[in-house]
Amino acid sequence: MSTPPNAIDPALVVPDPSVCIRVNEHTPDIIWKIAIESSKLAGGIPQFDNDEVIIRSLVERGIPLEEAREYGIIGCVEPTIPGKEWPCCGSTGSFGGVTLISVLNLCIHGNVNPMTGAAGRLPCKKLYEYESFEELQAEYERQVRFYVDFQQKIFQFFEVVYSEFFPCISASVMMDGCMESGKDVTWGGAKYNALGVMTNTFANTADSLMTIKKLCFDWKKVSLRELYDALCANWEGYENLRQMIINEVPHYGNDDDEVDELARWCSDVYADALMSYKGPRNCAMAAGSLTLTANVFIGKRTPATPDGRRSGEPMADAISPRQGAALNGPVSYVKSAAKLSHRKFSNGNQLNIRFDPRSVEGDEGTWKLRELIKAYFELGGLQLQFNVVATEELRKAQKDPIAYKDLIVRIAGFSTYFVHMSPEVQEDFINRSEQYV
Amino acid sequence: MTPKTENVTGRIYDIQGFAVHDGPGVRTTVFLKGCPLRCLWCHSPESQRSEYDLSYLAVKCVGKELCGAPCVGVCQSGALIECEPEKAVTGDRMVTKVKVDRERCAECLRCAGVCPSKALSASGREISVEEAYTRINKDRFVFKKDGGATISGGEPMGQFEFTLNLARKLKENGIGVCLDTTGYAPPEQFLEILEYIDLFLYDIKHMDSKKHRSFTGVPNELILSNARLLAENGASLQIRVPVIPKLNAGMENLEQTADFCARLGGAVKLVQLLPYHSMGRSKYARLGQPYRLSNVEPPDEAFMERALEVFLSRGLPGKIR
Repeated sequence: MSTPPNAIDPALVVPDPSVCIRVNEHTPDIIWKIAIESSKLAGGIPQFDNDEVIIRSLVERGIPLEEAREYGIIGCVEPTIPGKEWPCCGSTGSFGGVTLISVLNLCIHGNVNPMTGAAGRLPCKKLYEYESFEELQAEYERQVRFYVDFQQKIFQFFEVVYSEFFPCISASVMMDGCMESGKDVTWGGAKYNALGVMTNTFANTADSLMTIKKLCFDWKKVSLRELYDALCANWEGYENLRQMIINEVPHYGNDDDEVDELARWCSDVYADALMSYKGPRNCAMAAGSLTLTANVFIGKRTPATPDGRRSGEPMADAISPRQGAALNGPVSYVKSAAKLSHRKFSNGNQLNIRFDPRSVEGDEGTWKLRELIKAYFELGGLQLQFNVVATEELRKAQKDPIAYKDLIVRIAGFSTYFVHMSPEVQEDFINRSEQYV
Repeated sequence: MTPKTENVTGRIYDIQGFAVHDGPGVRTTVFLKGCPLRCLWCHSPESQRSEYDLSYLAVKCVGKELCGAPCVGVCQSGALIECEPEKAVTGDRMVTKVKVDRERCAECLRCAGVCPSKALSASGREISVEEAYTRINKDRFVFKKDGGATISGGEPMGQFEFTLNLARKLKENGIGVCLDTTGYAPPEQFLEILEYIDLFLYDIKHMDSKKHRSFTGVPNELILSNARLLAENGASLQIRVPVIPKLNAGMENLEQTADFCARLGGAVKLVQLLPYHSMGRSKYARLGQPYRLSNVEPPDEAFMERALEVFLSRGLPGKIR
C-alpha cells in the first residue's frame, strides 16, 4: 500500500459525493488525522461511522458476521452489503416513516390534527383527560404500534406495484442471488433483503413528554388543561409558560438521565414495533433516523408542541437534540445521544454536531476531537458528523438569535455562545473565521 | 490543616465540558468566582467579584408585550427602564425590551428571580464539592489518559477549602486535576494542595513589580516566590504568559520572563504564550462595566513567533496558545 498523504489537497474539497469513514478500535492514527483534518477543511466531510455498532446491528438483521463486515454506506447514512443485499433503505415507494411528534399530537388533541381538522384512525382522549403520565405513555405506544402496522400495509402495496411495473434489471445483474434464483431484486432475488424505514422527531417528542411529566405531574406547576389551552393558542398569551418550559424543564442533549431515558423509550417503542414485522420479500425491517431537511418541512405542518415549539417552527434533525436546547456543551450532547439503543438502528442514524472544528486548532485539537468521537462510539453511538459553522450561518444567527442560541464558538481561552456576543464582536469573529475558509 | 469535607460549598460562575484550552487532553473546567487581581485585559469580568453579578442579555429579552415585564415591578431602585419599542426579529409584532440602569441598580437580583426568559440572570451559584464532582464525573469517559478536570476562576485559591476538597476528591477517584492560578495566594496553601494537583497552569504577567501592580492591581513578589516554591517542591508547571502589546510584550520583559522560567528548571513542562484578544468585550457590556483596554490591538503572528523564540532559545518547551 502506498503511503497515505500527510496533507489534504484543498482541490479535493467538494460537497459531493458524500464520503464516510468506517472507524473501529484498530483505526490507525494517520487515518484519524486525515479524516479529522479533512472534516475541518471540508466542513463535516467525511462523516464517521462506528463499525462496532453497525456490524452488530447488521448481524441482528440477519446477515452473517463475515459479510456484515463488508458493509458500506449508501444513500446518506444507511449501512448495507454491497452487491449482496437489496436494502430499500429509503423505503419502497414514497419516503415512508412515522413522525413520532405527530403521533403524540394525536394523543394530545383527541385523535385530531388541529392544523387540518383531520381525524386519525384510532380515537383517544385529549391531554387534559389523562389520569396519569403512564396512561399517556400507554396511549402513545398504542398509537405508534397502530401506525407502524398501517405503514406495513402501504409497503406491501408498493412492493407489489414495483415488482410488477418497475423491475430493476441493472441492479439485479450485479446482485448476488438474482441469477441463482432467477428473480429480480424487486421480487426478492437478492441474497439478503431488507426494508429501511426512517423515523424522526425523537428530540421534540422526548422533550414534549418531559414537559408534560415534569410541569403537570411531578411538579404540578401547570394543569394539563392550561398546557392544552396554551398549545391550542399557539402559546399566545402563554409566553411565561413557554419560557418556563424552555428554561426550567430538562431537555434531551444535556446528559440528563430522565429526559434521555424518555428519548430512548420513544425510539425503542418505534424500533421494536417495526422490527416485529417481516417485510415484503420476507425481509428484515430496519429502523433508521435521518431527516435531511425534512425536519423543516415537517415542522411547517405541525402545530405547537409541548416542548415550547411554536406552530410551523422546524423540528430537530435526525437524532440530534433540538436547536437551542443543548446548552451543556459537546460532551453532554454526545452522551445524551449515545443513550439511544443504536443497535436497533440498522438502517443508520445521524448525529449532527453544530460545532466549528476549525476552531480546535492544530494537531492537538485534532486529537481532542478524536477523543470526542471515540467517546461517543465507545458509549455505543452509531454515526457522527460535524456541521461546520460557515459564515453565512453566523449571519443567519445574527438575524435570528433565538434559533441559534446554542451555537457555540470557540475563542482562545474560552468558548461562548455566538448570540451572546455583542454585534461588533460578532463581526470581528466572522472576519476572523473567514481567514480559514 | 484544612478539614476534609464534601459539604463545603464553592461559588462558581460556570462549568464547561470539552474545555480544550485549559490544560492537556479533553477537560471539564470549573470556574470559581472571585479574583484578587484586576488585569486590564481580563476576558472573564464575571469571574472578578465574589458577589453575584446581575447579567443582562438583550437578545433573550422577549419584551413587555409577551411577559408583562415582572422585572420592572419588583425592582426597588428604579433601575429597570423600558426601551423604545422595536420591531421583532421574527414576525410583525413590536417588542418593548427592558434595560438596566447600572448607576441605579443595587444588584439585589430580585429581577433575575422573576424574569421568565432569563434575560436577567444572576451570574454565579453555590455548588458543593459533591455536586461539582458528580458533574465532572459525568464527562469522565472522554478524559482518557491526558484529560481530566481543571479548577479555574477567578482565582480558585481564593476559595481554598472548596478547591482543596474538590481536588482531593477528584484525585482520590482517579481524575487528573489541573489548577489554573494567578499564584497570588498564601504559600502554605500551595504546599497543602500540591499533592492533589497534576499540573499548575500558572500565570506570569510581568516581571516588574510596579508595572505588574499597575496592570493587575497587585505586586508580583508573592507570585514569583510561589512559583519558585512549587518548582522546588516537585510541582509540574505550565507557565502561561498573556502577550499584551504595549503592556507586557516588550522584548526586555519577555526575556526576563523567559530567564525566570528557565531558572525554575524541569518543573516547567510547557510555556504557553497567549496572544491578547478582545473577545471578552461583550461580557463587560452584559455586566454593564466599562472595558478598560480599548486602544490595544491583538499581536500579529510574526510577533508571536519572535516572542516564542525568546523562550525556545533558552531551551524551554513552548508554544503559542
